[in-house]
Amino acid sequence: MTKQSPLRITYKALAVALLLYALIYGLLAEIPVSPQMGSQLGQSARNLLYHVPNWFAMLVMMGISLYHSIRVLRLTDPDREQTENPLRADIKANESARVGVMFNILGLLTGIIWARVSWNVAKEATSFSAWWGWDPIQTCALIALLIYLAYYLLRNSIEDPEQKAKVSAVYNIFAFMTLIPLFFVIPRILDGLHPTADGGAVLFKKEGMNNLLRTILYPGMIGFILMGVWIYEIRSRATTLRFRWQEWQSNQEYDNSHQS
Amino acid sequence: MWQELRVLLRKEIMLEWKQKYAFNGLLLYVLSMSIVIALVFRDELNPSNWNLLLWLMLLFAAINAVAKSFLSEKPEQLRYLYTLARPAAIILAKFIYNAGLLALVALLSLGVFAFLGEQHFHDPLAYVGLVLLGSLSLAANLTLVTAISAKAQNQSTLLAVLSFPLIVPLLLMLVRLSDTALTGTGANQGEGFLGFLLVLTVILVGVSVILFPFLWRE
Amino acid sequence: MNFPISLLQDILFTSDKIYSVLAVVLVVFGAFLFMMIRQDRRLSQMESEMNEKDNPHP
Repeated sequence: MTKQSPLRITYKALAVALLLYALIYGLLAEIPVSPQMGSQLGQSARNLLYHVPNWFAMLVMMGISLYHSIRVLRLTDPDREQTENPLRADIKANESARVGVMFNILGLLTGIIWARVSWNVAKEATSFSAWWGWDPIQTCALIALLIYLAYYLLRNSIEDPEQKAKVSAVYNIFAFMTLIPLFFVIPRILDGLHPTADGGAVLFKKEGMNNLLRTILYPGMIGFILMGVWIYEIRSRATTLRFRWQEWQSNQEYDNSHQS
Repeated sequence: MWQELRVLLRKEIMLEWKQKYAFNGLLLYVLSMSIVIALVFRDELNPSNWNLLLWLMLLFAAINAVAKSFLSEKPEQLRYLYTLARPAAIILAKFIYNAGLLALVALLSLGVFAFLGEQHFHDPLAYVGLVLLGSLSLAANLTLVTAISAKAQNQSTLLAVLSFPLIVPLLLMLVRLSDTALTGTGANQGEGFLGFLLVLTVILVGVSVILFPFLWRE
Repeated sequence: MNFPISLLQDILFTSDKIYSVLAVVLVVFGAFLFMMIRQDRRLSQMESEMNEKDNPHP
């Protein structure tokens, strides 16, 4: 059995340690429920520690996906020397986008629950608006999910693997360009309930956000990102292995047919 | 480069001129939509909703107009085209043609819509400018997406699915800005976002020009 | 009926129940970690087998 490189073991151990710290300390620490924090937020402010990191992890995973998509295009360029099979880069782009989608869904779910207990307390639990308020950032997150679901639809509708790799890489790069206004610009135009740099709720502005929460949030965020990288590593290794096995099998068949 | 662009643009316009049904179909669509909306809402439509309906109509007109830029041409035709011109020139020509067509359709539908809805504009010049900018950025977004969906099966469904989520952010910004131009209320940092919209359009066109050569090569 | 609010208040504001929440969370996290590590080790093993197949020693 091959030994893992020390770097790999270190980041995995770090992911586990940081997540354990964020889980245990985040749930047990005394957080001040001051009027500055917004009276309706109360103890549910802890959800900040488990809601916000999802989005940063998603952006990192989408960034990795973007990087591998660019590599697919460079590897299929006939003017350049082909150092690696572009289909392997495509596997990585695909799997990291998948983990990004997972974080997107987790972020939406934690957001829905949080919105229920902080923004929409007064509403009946059976009404739709008690769970989903069409807040601008919430809507943008949903649109980001739709963009990447469309990416998978596109992948499913192309048969030829090489063509699939190339076309979906082009779409992925184009989609990432629209992710930037979705998360950084539109929330500033449309006033909403989320705290933003200039407007919206004032829950987590400099004076409102508690230092304690900060000391848990940032390490936890790194933990989320590293855990995402780990999941992505496992998924892409498994798919690459399947790809290699298929290649090996077809080589065997080729050899057999030429020997006989 | 300019030579190639001019020739390609001429080809697009002549094709359109020879088979006018696409453009006429768009005009008919815009007209019938405006009449239906005017009929249904009569005087009950407030300016913000009027603005929203106009943009929705423009969105569907845009998807219909741009859809035929790559989807209507046969693969052999496209392959022949690729031997004649550089890919960057092809996508730029398609973009310029689409933007022009969309701007024309958008202005016409704005005229019909405003006439039937009897709108009062707070800042008519800014509104027209926004409609033009909107058709520019819609064309920038849609041109590459049509080229992508032309590579796959069940193209026309895929075009709608791929383009819709990419366009929503643009549309959100456009609706909000043009609402300000129409009613004169809620103007916050309008210029900054206008600039951002312009920059985004330029970036999208640039990215399309860079990415398209990878797309057509087989 | 205010389902999640009453539940959250019940859990978070009564002093001892937060420990049971933590216990559940940790068990789930532990199960997840167990799965991840097992998958990782299995993959490493299969990768080395694949390397053998690709470059067989004479």
